[in-house]
Amino acid sequence: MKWEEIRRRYPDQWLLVEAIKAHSDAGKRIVEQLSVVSEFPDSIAALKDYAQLHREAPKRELYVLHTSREGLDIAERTWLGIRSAG
Amino acid sequence: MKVRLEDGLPYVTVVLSYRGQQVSLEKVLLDTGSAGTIFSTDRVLTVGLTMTPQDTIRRVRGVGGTEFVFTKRVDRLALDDFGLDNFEIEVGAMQYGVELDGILGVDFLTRVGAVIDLAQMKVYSTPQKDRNNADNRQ
Repeated sequence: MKWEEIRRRYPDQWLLVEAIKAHSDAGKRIVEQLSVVSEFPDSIAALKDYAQLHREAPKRELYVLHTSREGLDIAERTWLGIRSAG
Repeated sequence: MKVRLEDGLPYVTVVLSYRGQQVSLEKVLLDTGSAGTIFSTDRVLTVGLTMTPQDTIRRVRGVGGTEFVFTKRVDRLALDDFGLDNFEIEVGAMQYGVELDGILGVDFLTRVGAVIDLAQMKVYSTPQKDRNNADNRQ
């Protein structure tokens, strides 16, 4: 679904969503198609579920979003990561 | 502020203030390889900081995959005697295979004029008048 359609179907709702079709362009992440993973009463519960799912399936592109948000303005930044000696 | 080495990485303790509450975060990595400053969702929740509907979101792309973060302005972020007011941080799950409370990135370190002294294992802030970097030049 497109974000506009998700907003119509799930008004005023915290969601965990997965990007199904997306690409990067000039420092922005353009998400064209999304699917709704689950609904939550608040962001705390949504972020908790995100953390668990992200741990189990790190390759899935997941976001916590509230449907009062009009557009998906997602900036991208890169980070090399941590290399510990332990 | 003392710098501690654990598994070969430099850590400091940071005090984060948000809406009248404070939390001391003991395992914060000093990372000149990170442009941004980020803290763990679980750790900042202890001062009532969580995501609100209109928060800016980002996608952080790294070697180990990608993660979603949101951004928030905190009232103050400080190492014992120096810090910044009204500073924007990122908040995320931080699942990097190393247990961390947060990462102090180049945005914070530049704005305080940080000197990381690995001979004395200390980090301190350069007085304003002696700074000559892009963020501090007057």
